[in-house]
Amino acid sequence: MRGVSIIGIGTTPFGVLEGLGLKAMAIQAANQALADAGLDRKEIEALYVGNFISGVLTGQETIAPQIGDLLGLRKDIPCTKVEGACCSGGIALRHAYSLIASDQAQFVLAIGVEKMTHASTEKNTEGLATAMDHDSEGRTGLTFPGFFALVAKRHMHEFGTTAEHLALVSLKNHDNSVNNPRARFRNKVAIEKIRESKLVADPLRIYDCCPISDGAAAVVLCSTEIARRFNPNPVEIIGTAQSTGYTTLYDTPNPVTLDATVIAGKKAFAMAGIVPADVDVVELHDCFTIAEIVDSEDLGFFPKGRGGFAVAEGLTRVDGKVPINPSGGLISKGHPVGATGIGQVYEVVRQLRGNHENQVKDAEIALTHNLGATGQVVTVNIFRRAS
Amino acid sequence: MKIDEKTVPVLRCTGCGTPAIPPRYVCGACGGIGFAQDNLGAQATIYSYTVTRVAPEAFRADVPYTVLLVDLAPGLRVTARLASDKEGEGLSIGQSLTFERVDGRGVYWFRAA
Repeated sequence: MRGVSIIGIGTTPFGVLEGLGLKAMAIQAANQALADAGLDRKEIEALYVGNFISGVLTGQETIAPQIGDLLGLRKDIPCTKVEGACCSGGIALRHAYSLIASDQAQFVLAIGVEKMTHASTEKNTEGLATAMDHDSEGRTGLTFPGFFALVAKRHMHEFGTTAEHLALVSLKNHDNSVNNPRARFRNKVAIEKIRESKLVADPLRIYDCCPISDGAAAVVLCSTEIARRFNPNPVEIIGTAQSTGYTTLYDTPNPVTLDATVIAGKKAFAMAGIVPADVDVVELHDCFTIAEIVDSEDLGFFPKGRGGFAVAEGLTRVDGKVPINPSGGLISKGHPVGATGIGQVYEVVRQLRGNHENQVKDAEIALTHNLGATGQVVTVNIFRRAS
Repeated sequence: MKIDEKTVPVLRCTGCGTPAIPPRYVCGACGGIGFAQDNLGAQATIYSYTVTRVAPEAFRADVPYTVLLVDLAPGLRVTARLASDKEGEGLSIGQSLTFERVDGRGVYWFRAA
């Protein structure tokens, strides 16, 4: 296996991108990534597109070859869509990584994209719910907020996590995205507004939930040995793992933990040869505020049950001991589902290049965590700035 | 320990006897692929619960409704609905439940004991 680095990044803003379609967004992000790498598009030897529900929401499938063609890529290369609900982007990155690591390609493009805001809330709810197991749990009327509400209620019962802890996650992530020009929400939100917002599935309120969004992000990867030819500051992928979780919450042995995160985290840390304390900045999958708390424990940044308290102590702020979601996270940067995994990579590459709007001082090692559906699929990637 | 009169329908692995909530294709305990219908004399208790207030179209008429995660036996839970819903009022984790029925869609229903 040879080393793989990121030499180019691109993105659209995340939010309501009126008049910008799925393919247009993907191409905009990809053009930016190619320009950032200074790479001729004809050098690209494979394209992976992470996307969840283009079929349901836009009526368009087979998007990878269409994007490859419209982007002007070569005709002798594979263009493939990968899907794992909200983890689709993370999976696309891993496929791109594997192709280069195994010496089957030198340059690979990975794009994550989702178009959502043109569709009605009902259509979006229906589309997102396709990731729930419709042969069992899905039939009860369990929604995604409901799933994480069940996790939250149990987490509160066992560890003393409070509604205030949840509100503080939301507050921090909204504060962080004020500075992020790519974020859906740019305004400071008062804690009272978060505390008193509408209940969706108790204890989760509207400010505990991430917003549907449009967006695309793209990265160009190449072998580490030649990365510096294209970029003076390449970022190497030093650990990467994908794991499989449980289809239903009732089969999840201990629902205050999402096992797929634990497994992918351990594998990625072992591959990178580092421990959680070595990580300088984290972008993780806060689809709901409780998810940020549970993920931060499952990845090993805090002991089980202490995630909420860590937020209250300010440990996860940009200037804290474990900066989590300086981008604003899914909660406030937005969650164009198929784009999120690559969007997280975009954010941490900027951190490791030292030019993020919420720069973590001297960031050298970063981690991204991308979770699909009910924790059915997780990717964890660890990155290091070239010294 | 009180055993409910009504018992909860489950699948039971014909290889090792481990119970499972349907559908189940491969036994999580032994890897067996044979299952028989059975009933479990379950002491059902609440593991977690939530009152859903925003629902997809198919469940809109039910809002607000309570979804339960129910402990049935060691290692066996089921995601279920609360019958005669009062918006989750008075529920608490660990509380005993009585099994009500499995409806035509395969959804398990319980009520507060």
